[in-house]
Amino acid sequence: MSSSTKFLTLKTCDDKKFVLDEAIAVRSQTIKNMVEDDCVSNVIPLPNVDSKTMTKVIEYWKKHSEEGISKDMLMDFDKAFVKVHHSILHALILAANFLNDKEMLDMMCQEVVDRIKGKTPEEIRKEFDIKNDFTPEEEEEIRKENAWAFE
Amino acid sequence: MDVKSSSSKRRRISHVPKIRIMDLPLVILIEILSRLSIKPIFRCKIVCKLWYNLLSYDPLFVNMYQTKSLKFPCIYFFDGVGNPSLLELKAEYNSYAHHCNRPIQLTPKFHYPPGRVFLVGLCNSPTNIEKHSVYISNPLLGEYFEVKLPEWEISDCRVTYGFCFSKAIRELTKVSELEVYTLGVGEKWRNVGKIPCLVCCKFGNININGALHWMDSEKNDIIYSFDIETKKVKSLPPPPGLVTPPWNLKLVELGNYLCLTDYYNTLSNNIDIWWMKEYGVSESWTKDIILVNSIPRGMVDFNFEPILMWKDGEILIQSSTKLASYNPKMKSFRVVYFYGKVITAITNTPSFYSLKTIMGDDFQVTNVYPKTQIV
Repeated sequence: MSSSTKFLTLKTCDDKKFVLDEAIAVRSQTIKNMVEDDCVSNVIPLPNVDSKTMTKVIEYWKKHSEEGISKDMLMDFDKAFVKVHHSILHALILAANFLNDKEMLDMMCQEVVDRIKGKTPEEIRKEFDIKNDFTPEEEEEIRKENAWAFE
Repeated sequence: MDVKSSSSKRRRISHVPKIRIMDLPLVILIEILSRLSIKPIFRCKIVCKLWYNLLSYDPLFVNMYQTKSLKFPCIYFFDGVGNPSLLELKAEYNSYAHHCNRPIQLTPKFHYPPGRVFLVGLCNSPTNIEKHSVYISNPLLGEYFEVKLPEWEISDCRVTYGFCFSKAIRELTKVSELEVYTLGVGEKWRNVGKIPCLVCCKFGNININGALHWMDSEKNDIIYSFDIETKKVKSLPPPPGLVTPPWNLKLVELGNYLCLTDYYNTLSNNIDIWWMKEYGVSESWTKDIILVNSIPRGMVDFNFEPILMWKDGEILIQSSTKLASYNPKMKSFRVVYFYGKVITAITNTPSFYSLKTIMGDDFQVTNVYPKTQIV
């Protein structure tokens, strides 16, 4: 790769354009593949990502590409970064999945895991807006079978 | 943003639509659920039917969970009053300096076969021996299979069991005085020959390259292996120049290496861990020395047993009712805190694989609880 900075233009599904240093954008395996296969003309369309989510993604990428940033600082950044509403977190997961950024996807998924793990089924349903589609009898039966998990 | 503009054909809605967890692709949802530890997984079964089905039957979930639990297996151990318990060593176990790691008590409320349980060998499922019964069970699923024992065995108390799971042929074999029982194949034990020496009680745990290993109980210059595929007993060379009697030597499997701990007079001496770096090659034995003064206080004991390798080469060690993680590079210990006391401990890879996949349809796999049918 040449030493001069190359820029890429990314276009989100809501037609917003983001101009980004190629070295940062290739954190996305999807974009990297496109660049390597030389199929980048002027603008890279990102049909599955909206601008609001992309802004967050770029914020993450830039921070993680900063030179000389310490591990502790990154950890603090990550901790604050995932403190968002569920819907934004889920949108970021979809974006990270589409852009194929394993590191980011991994971190986001772990945050969902952390949000689930200490909760009762009722709390999980309420928190994540999931409908309980069991009959009371069915629920009772599964509860009985797994009673030890509630101690 | 202006809502009207979103109605134009080429543009989507410009504000972020509310994305729920249920809108995530199934593969990501499964990835998330498979990272949970055991208790939360069972609690999540009650959330909704989709989650129940994913966590009960989905092969992708079973596989993903397996991949993770191979890296961070569990410790099965007996506590001070003889209750088997399960301690999960998950990735988030970074916090293992906290006094909050509560093991799961396994009996009697856990999914176990009836009776007093004694754990023998563990690969993917624990084997339990209860006086005259041998069970192969997967306690996570509450499934167990009772192995029929040969007639003579009922009265013979000098029987030792080993347990070997060979991935290549997906065969599960039990060894007893060199009689072999292959799960899912027949109901008979087959005699495959004489044993060259007395096998002492710890036999079934050292499982490398599809072979069981044990040490001669009287001489320290020979290690035996029993290959489960060829059904042949072979001998392997021990480390050179051992002076310790065999009862102070212990064979272990660490990171798929055959290892030998030499804990002769632990109270004052260092502990040697020998690694057979190249399987079967005498010259490949190399020695790691654990300095006696690096061992945490209260853990210097005759009963000093490496259990497993985890976390990039750290070795989990049990000694004197405690657990500690030893870092060979740093030559340092960290105590693993949890509620309870360990008497004996073995590794287990918790798994949601059904015994039925190993046993086939011809055998009766029993469920501790009747299976709930959810449609």
